[in-house]
Amino acid sequence: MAKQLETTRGAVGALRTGKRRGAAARRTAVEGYALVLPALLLLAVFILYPILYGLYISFHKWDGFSAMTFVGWRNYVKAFTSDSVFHQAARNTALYAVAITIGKNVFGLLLALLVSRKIRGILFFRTALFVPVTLSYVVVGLLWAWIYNPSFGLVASGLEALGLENWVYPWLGSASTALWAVVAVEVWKWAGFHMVLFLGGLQAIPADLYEAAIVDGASPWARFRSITLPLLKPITFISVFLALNGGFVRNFDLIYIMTGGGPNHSTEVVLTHMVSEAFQRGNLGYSSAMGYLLFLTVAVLILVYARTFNRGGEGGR
Amino acid sequence: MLEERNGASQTAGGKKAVRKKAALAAMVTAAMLLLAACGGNNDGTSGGNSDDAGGANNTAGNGESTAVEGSVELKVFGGSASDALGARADNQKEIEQTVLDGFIAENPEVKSVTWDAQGPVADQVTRMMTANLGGEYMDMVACAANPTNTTFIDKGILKDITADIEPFKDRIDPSALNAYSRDGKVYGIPIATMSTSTFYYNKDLFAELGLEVPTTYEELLTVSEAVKEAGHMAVIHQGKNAWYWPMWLMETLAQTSGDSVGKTESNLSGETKFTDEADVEALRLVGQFVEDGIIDGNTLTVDTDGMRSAFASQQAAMYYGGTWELSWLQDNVTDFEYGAFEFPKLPDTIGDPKHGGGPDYGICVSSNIKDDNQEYAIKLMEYLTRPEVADQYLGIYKPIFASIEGVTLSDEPIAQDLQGHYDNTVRFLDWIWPVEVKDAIASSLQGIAGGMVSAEEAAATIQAAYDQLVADGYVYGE
Repeated sequence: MAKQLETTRGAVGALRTGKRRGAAARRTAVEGYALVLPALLLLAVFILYPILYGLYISFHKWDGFSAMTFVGWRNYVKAFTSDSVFHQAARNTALYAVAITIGKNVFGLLLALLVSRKIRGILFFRTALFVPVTLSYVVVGLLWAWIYNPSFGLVASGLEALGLENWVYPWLGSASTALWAVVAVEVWKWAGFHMVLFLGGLQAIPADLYEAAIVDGASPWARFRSITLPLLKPITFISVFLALNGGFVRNFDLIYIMTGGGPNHSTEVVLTHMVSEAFQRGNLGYSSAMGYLLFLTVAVLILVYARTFNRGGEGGR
Repeated sequence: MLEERNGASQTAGGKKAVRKKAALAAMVTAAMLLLAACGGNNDGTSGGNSDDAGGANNTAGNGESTAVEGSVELKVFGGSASDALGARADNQKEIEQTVLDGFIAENPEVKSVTWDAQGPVADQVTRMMTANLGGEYMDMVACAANPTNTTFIDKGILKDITADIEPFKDRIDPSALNAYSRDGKVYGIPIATMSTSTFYYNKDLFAELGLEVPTTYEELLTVSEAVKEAGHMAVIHQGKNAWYWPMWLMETLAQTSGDSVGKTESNLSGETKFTDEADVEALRLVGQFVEDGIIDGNTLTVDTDGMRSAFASQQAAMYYGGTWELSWLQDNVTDFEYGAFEFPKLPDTIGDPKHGGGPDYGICVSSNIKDDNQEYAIKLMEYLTRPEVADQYLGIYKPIFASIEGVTLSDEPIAQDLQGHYDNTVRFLDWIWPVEVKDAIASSLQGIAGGMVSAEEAAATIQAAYDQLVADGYVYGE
């Protein structure tokens, strides 16, 4: 009986303690939500609402002046079927993204390997190579548009000074070279940033691994392939991710300043086409639809890339 | 027992998680509702609450104002800084203040006139769109003729003022007024300088090389070859800017069709096509200027600054622009004398040379204007068209032409050259083309100049852009 009473008292005590804990937990939860509420409000106002509103607009015909008209999937169908400029812009965007991803990472890694050596004045070189990263796109775009200018530009003057007048070419004025000329500038601007990423990775690799490899008679190429590259894998993941993402969704400024999408749409990318559609032609709904198509493409690509990379990483282990 | 407790605990945990999610969702929804409630009116009616502007004024049955002194506040909205009164003057603010003070002094019912014109010309439609979305109230709209024709009239944001301006419309150049009219209805009055298109040339260089001003394509070709032999570029053109190429087409189409405005309107009505022989030939002729080396081959890399620099530094002997270039030339070209000549006559064409032009800026009445303010908006228009008032904000430029009769014009030699061109000026075609067609023309011309597409392919692209518009419901003139 006494034992039973004790058990009951224990149960009641536990219940009370549980209630107290529950009340405390609820209080903690409320306090937690209250603390994150301002951040959530900001998130809702500046991120969620525009995203959802953009999606809503993409199903409408709207010029920013008149009332919206619901058109269902028509904007999306138009992008796939009848807008040849969008098709060209999508191709250019893909080419641009792939090219700059390769360029930035290859050059970034090469520069990192060069400046990782302990030589006198290396800090100066590291700083100098990073300077383009700090320049704004407007400055870089205008600067390089002048450098490329076949009549007054630095490239033309240099070639003429070397007696290579025949090589002077309107790089930004030709459909076959304009996109690549912009790609080169984008790579030039950001290679220093990727260099810093890779440099951090290189400095984290233990020196004794290289020493052991040298003792084993490994060649420089073998050391690079078997030690440097595998150990840089996490950095490479980030570096490629940033470049690829930027190639798709941060290509507007430079192209707009250097070529405006021309000549004859040869450097048109989805973002420049979106802006033209929205603010020159007043097709805000169609522009939003293109934005969502770009978003979905990038999301799928990044997902595939992340899964492939991680799978490769596991296999490597 | 332990499993049961664990199960109960998991159920409780699950409920807790659901409650957390529900609370989170409720908070996000509340935030979004709050935002939606704070948001503007996007139903296209814009203009904000008409009760919030102006003041206690009424109009008597006989139409005479009974507004209380100092009760009317007029708001003028300009799409860009160029829409300000005396926009190009160094003392613009001072000029604007003097003009508006004069108006207020004559109309004691008016307390103030706010003239809000900011931003670059390229963003004028965007700025108007933003103001519209934000529900910004405006009594009047100061705007260039281009967006007025291509956007603002179509979007219904301007009021028909045909009858209102009848008492003073004789003060306005009829062709300039026509630029703010559609189907016999007037939507605004031009209060600006007037533009025409022209070639500028280096007079000293021409004299040095013994060259005469060309009047035909063949003569221009001969002149260009002589200039190039002397180590200069012939014609420099800002071909990087796609939007500038249609200027050339306006000239060539005028000559291949005999009536560029009529042909354009006919194409847009669907009676004729952009692929007709006259249109294709006009496109081809633009390309021929590049092919024959009259326009420098690197044109697609040249922007406005590059074009002007090449001319000012005497690297190029000629460039094609318009009267809007004159103030830049006056400020920056001091080492040599320059002149202007008309676009030359093209071979085997039926029409005479005609140049795109028209008034640069004007002022309109917003379709959302409060009834009580409309009388004063029209009074302001009347005031601005008085020659002595127009001289205050237009005469300061010593313009070559002005949309208001009686404004003091320039008597410089180059101005006299250009005044002779004005008789051959027709409406800019990009005030007639829908934006989609204009963009197709601009990029196609870039393609022709760069040898990327043929004139026939370009014409097909332009026609396709028009067909797409029609499929989307476009009807010219509606």
